[in-house]
Amino acid sequence: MTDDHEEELLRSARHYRDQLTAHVEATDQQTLLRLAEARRAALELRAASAHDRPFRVPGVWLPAGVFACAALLALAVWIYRPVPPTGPTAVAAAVEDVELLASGDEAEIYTEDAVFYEWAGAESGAI
Amino acid sequence: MALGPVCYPCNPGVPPYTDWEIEVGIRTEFGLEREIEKFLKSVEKRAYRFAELSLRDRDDALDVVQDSMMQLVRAYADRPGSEWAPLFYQILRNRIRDTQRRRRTRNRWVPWWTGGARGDDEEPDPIDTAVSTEQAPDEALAQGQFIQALSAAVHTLSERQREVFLLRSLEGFDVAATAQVMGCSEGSVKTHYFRALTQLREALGEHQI
Repeated sequence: MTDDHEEELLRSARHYRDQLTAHVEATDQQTLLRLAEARRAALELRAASAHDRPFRVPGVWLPAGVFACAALLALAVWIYRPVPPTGPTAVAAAVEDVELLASGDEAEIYTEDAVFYEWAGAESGAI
Repeated sequence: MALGPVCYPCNPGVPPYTDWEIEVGIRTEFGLEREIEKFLKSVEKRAYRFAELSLRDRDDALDVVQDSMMQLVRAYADRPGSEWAPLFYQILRNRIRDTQRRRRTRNRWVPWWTGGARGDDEEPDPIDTAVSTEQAPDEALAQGQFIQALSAAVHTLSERQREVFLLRSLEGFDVAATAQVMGCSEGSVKTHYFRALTQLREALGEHQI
């Protein structure tokens, strides 16, 4: 492309721009009124939608709300977590388990004759 | 090459918030409405001319501008004000394309139905295309004639060339902003703009400067 051609194109572009700007400024009153009505209708739509949503959640509040809910849930889970048994009974049971494992007896004794031990325990309790 | 900031001439400079809103740094509903109103007011005339030159019909142009305003307000009002201009012109561009598509479909059936009569190719009403009387009559007449010739020439361009030309020449968008609105590369915008200008110069002939 030659410099002359480029210059001509730029001059034309400026001319078109000026003419179009003048055309925009020369918009007739009737059209301006219609445009104003269109703008008002759009703003009324906005106002109506804001009225329908009195508790609008703007961008910043949504993640903040999610974070607060998650924190609350975590706190609730921590407070109401299942508590392991504590005190003398729990300690005694634990010691008994350790003794059982350390005794070296075969584990089958405890599983095969489970019914017998249950019966024996019930009997001794009854005496 | 480092490009400058994207230029949207219609973007409102300072949002119309009150001092206390700026001080507190919040965007109240009332302030937001004023900001939207200011933005819409700043774009409406150019948007209307954009639509009118694309569709060559005053009522259709007004309809697509109103639809675009409503869609922007409905879906994107909560976005930052700096995003409104590209969003608005994307919506407007889509609405114009939808209208053109509907017309093409209608024109396919109407001639068959009415025996050849077509409504869209009629000459525009001279009252509708008349320019404001604030100009001198000779100047207004010359400008009216030039715009009519330009409008006819613009319609010989391809769809993308027309959109690039109108966004650059009518809306005053720079290359980056035009590319953003059209969803294409800046190189593509430059190519379409160059071809559009070359074709318009050829088509306008005697109307040139």
